[in-house]
Amino acid sequence: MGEVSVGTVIVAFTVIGIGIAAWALGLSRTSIAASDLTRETGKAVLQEASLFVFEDVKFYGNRVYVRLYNVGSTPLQIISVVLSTPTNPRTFDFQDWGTLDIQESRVFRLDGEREPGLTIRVYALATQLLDPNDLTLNIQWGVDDVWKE
Amino acid sequence: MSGRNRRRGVSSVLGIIIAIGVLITAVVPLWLFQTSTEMIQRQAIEGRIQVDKERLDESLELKAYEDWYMGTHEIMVNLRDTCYLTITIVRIYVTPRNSPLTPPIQTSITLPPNTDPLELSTGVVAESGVVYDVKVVSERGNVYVPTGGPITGGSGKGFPNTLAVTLINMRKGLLYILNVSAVSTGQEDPPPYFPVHQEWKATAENQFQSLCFGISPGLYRVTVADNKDYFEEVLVDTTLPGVANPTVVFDCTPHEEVPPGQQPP
Repeated sequence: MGEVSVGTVIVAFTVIGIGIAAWALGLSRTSIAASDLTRETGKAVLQEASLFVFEDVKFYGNRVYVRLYNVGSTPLQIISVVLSTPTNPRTFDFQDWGTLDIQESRVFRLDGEREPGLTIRVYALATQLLDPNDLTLNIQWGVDDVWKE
Repeated sequence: MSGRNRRRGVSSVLGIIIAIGVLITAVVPLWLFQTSTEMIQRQAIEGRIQVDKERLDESLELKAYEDWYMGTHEIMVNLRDTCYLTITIVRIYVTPRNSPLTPPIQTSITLPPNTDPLELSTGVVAESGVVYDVKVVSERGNVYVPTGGPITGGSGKGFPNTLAVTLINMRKGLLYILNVSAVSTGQEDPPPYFPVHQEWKATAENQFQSLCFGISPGLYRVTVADNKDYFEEVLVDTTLPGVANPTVVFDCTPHEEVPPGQQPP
């Protein structure tokens, strides 16, 4: 065996170093891209799966009874049911109204009366639970619908 | 080749192996993963397109009426699937205006496509003067209201005329099939229980059977057949003078064949 020059060693280590760095970077990018893809796919699937309808709206006394029907293929968490009128416009008022399972229909009761221009807005979330310990990691998709008098 | 050149060749090969390693461990799995997620997305989108299309294509004919015919005054619904899809009815609302919080009737009635109408009793007896809103919800989330609008109890149609159908000389053991349908009834709706399909089995010789229908003025087709060799069809026009309340009598005595060249009796 002949002697190895310092230059050869440097070149060899440089090549190996760059290779390992590229490998690590590639794996890291793969992981990030895979995570992004998972989130995007999850959102797309939730978007297509989320569907609810206003099945029935009734007025009685000073109350409005709204029956929602989940006809999609994912449970929906109802987080806002808001009555709005031209004289009293309202934005989403977020609170937990419970979860509407697939093919479940339920009545939501609100304070209000029938009047011209009445609008009922419902906002719901479909969630794909990826990490029950860290809710920020879960995928969510919001759907809303409006019923007008 | 000198030893130095061989060592240079080794480092180049090492670099290529590392590059291939990067390709295999990073790029290829990502490509495979991307392909599979695209497929999942495409399936989800196609599934939703199918759901939306079926929701649009679903079509149901709904009639609601108070039962005057049998005299129970229950609110009846008549459902007919008029599309190519099977429809599942999940809820029927019969809501009196004086009690709007009446809960809907939960059902799971399946209506196959292209079949006869299904007549259902809702179990709600119409009170005189009370207005009832009727609607039906399908599993796909479509809401249907009857063509005639809300029902007012006690003010339904008591059909002004009567069509009586009588079968005489029925032959023992034969099955007789009566069909009555409305050909045209002008501005009036045909009775909600039309078309009528009724079957009787004669249990005695020369038995007779009679049935009356409340009708509005119009043209009706009445047919009677047995399961052997008898068939008669009659068109009844109740708008003609003197036949507002017709009676159609079918003599079910078998027709004797007339030999050629002879006059029928």
